Amino acid sequence: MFDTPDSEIQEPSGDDGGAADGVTLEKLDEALVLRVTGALDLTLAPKLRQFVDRAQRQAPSVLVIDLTGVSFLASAGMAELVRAHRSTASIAVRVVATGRVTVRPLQLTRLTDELVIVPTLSAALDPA
Amino acid sequence: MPGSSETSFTHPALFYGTPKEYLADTVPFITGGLSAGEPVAVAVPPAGLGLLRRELGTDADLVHLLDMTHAGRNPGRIIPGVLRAFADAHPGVHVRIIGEPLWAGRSEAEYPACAQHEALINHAFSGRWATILCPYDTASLGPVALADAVRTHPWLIDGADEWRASGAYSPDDVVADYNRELPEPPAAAVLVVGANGLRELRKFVAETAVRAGLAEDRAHDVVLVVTELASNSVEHASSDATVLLGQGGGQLVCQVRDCGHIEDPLAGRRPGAPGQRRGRGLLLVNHLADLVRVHTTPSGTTVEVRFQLGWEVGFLPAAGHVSRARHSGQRPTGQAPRQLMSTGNEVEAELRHVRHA
Repeated sequence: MFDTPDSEIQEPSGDDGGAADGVTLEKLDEALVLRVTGALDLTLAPKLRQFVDRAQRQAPSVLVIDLTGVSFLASAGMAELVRAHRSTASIAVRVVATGRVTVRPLQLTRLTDELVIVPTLSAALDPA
Repeated sequence: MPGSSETSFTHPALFYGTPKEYLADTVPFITGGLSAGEPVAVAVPPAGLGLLRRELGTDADLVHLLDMTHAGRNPGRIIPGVLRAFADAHPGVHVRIIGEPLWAGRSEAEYPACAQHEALINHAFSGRWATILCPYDTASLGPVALADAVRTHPWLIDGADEWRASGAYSPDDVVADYNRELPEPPAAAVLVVGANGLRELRKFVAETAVRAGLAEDRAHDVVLVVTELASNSVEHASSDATVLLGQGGGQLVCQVRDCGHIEDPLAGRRPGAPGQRRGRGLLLVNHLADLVRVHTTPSGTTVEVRFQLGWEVGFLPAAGHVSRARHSGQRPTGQAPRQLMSTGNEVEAELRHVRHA
């Protein structure tokens, strides 16, 4: 099911142990998947925005933002999730988040009510 | 009750001196709501919850009961996390809430945040169809707290359900009075952080929090809170953030100082609204910290956050903890608000009325 990635760009920024902070874009079936790793804060948020814009220009039916590899989620990162979710009605945006580090801030700010959040990438790619 | 027409907000303070007086006014408020089919929530310390459970019997199951010493430990999260959370879950109907944010065990550091919270409820609920009744224990709270309650509540209830308009209602003065300078935490480590320093800041804060004895999850909360505050400085104040991290009174104390000015007193107290893209940083801070204090002026802002050491998230202080503090005669503050002198006559008159009721 894995197509050859259309593009894959990694922007590591020097790390102190966990996964490098970065965003990659790949195509899986009809969906575009943005995988975010490391700390999604004020520093990485502009990169995520750039990738969301790039992905949306390709007009996929589904855009997945996969936070499975995120070790730290701040409000600057959440702002980009909201922006992606609201910017186009024709693209379904799904966020993959599991675990306290990402889910708790989303719950406390009521974004679990607004965004489409699923626990796994396969659930995000499920056409149903 | 007065002012209960649609879209109006009613915010009375209830002054009680005994459990009997407490129940005499809270129980009819609750049962009146239940019989009208209105959603009712009660967020008070454990002693009050116990009294109400016994008195209400099976009706207690119909009321949303919350331990305020836990849910409202940080006064700054009571509006988004307790009051608005309940009101927003019941759109289009009048909701009744009993909220007791102040009790004798509140610390001197917490008190100003309690008073500002009570003042800001009036703005946060302006135009909403709700009644929030705030009990004040005249037997254990000091004169400053009772005087402030008269300034933060447009309605006062005493004795046998007698409602009066407060002659000293002036919530904005209370917010301003407690916008006070925050002294540096003792023996604080200092770190100056720019836009590129967030990673280093996180490492520093995480190490400090773990060394102070916090469990990994709670240490992560501390890191998130401090990151949000420093990010605010870098983004909104366009200045470096000066982060001071120290310990005192069994708490991890962190201040973030910058050159900005927080002009919106409700910043961080509105729950996230659908479609709102930004502005969730201070909300997260309020939800996660055990206490948030702010001193803000046009020339600079200090936000202080505290995290309790020695107990973990979810720990409920036992009822005995609160009552011990009560019997020790501890007062929430020993310091009179600066403006009290100028508004003293009205407040004194109101308090005489309360005491003689």
